[in-house]
Amino acid sequence: MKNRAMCPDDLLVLARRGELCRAELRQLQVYLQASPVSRVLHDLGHHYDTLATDRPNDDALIERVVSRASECRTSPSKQQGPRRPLQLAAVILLGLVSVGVAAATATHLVRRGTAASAADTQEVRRPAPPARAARSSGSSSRLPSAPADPVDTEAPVADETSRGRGPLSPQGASSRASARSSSAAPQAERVLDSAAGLFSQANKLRKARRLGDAERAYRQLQLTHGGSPEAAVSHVLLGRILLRQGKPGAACAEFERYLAGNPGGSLAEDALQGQAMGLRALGRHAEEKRVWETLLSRFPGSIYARVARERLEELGTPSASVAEPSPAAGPTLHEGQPDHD
Amino acid sequence: MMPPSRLGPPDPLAPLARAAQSGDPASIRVFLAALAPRVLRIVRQVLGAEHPDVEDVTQEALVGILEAMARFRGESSVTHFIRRVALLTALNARRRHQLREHLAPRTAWEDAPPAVASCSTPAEAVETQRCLRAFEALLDELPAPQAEAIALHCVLGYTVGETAEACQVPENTVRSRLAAAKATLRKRLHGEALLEARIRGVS
Repeated sequence: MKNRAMCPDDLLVLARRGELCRAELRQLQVYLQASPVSRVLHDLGHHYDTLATDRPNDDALIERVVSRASECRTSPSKQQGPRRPLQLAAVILLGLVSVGVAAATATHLVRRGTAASAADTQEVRRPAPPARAARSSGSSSRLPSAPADPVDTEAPVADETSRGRGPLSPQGASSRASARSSSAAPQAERVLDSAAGLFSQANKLRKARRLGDAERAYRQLQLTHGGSPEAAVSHVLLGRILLRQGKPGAACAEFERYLAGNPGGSLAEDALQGQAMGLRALGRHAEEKRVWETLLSRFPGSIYARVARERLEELGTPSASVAEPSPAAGPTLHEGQPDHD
Repeated sequence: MMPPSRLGPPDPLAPLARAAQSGDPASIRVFLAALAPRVLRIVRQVLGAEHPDVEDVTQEALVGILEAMARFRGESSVTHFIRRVALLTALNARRRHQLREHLAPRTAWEDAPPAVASCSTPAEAVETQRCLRAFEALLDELPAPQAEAIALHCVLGYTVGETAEACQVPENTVRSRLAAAKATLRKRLHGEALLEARIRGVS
């Protein structure tokens, strides 16, 4: 058990991340009971965490803002951003002034901002580029090395990636991998830089039980190829890693990201199960109950159905018409969870 | 050259930021593409997911980050730096919007209660919505340093240490700002029947 002195403010933050031990959780409960304002901040924190999830159309929005912001920076002679640089600097600087001064200053700011917006609106709201520009990973990968095996093709992943928006098929990845076998470093680097290459690398690390390395690899994939099908799947895989590492809060965030961006995805069932297990570990039983119920209603024949019904019984919610199984000792975090490895 | 942050593992954005500082258009685009998802999340957290200005404010934040990177000397991690710029940009946008609202009827999105997914009952959802509106009003009215500190803490989930690194102030300063902001919030909420019910519930 960790022995670390922590201020109440940090207890609130680390609770959101799922990084508190049992003793610290008890300490947090005592603190929340004593401080109504902190209870409010605690609840609001969870609300803000839910706003941090991605949405299905984010890729298009991100592409637009990145294109316009890039052009603002690289073409100063024809700046088309919503603000001129000096005005923008003034906006940020004025934001640091106290309320008494900011009221008068902000009024001035509104007038300038409104005038600038009216002048710039037509320039800002340009149609999206006809072709989505590829987000190349300019960063060199710092992923740990993995055995140089041929690229594997896991069935759930193939289902996700074959519906992709580019040539990201397992067959394509395999041909790249076989070409790599006699290549020099630059070609191997290009493979790693692709979404498929990064995803494959991360999977190998996960199968090798190098979970910390795998976590970093999945996050790198999400950072550099956030809109790819591989990145979408990585949310579920990373969530499971985080559950194993005892980080249920972070795990729930990953499962929620997948479900928000892929409500009909082939791993939705797994994501719901993972989310429910994470919520259980966090003690958020009301939410856990809702997720189990959602899983059963959407996937009545799920491999997780038995666990879901058992857990709902424990939570005091009668499950559906199927006969109740005999009570077990209690499900572990990984009970009934097939290993995608 | 930017020194590494004093806290935490190596910053994954640091190499991208260094490349972007060179002014190469392709590097700038890669850097912005890496930032944009997290900037978008921060803007949504501050403004609200359905706010009509989310896209414009996100773009504004990205432009502001590029401008600010010219002066960035590695005092904090790149991640903390860009998140702070995004937060401040969004807070400013909130203040501008609130001032405009004084002169115009409330828009539909403002009237629609914010989705509060973490509540299990309608009563809890109403309660949290009221607290949310009180908190957002507080962000608009607090002195900027306190607003920034409480926003980093509550909206973005920063620890005291992370807030101190992002704002480049001592941790005790952060604690003071948080305490002052919470005291103001307590006074604001104290007038609400909601908080009185909570107090009765725990006393």
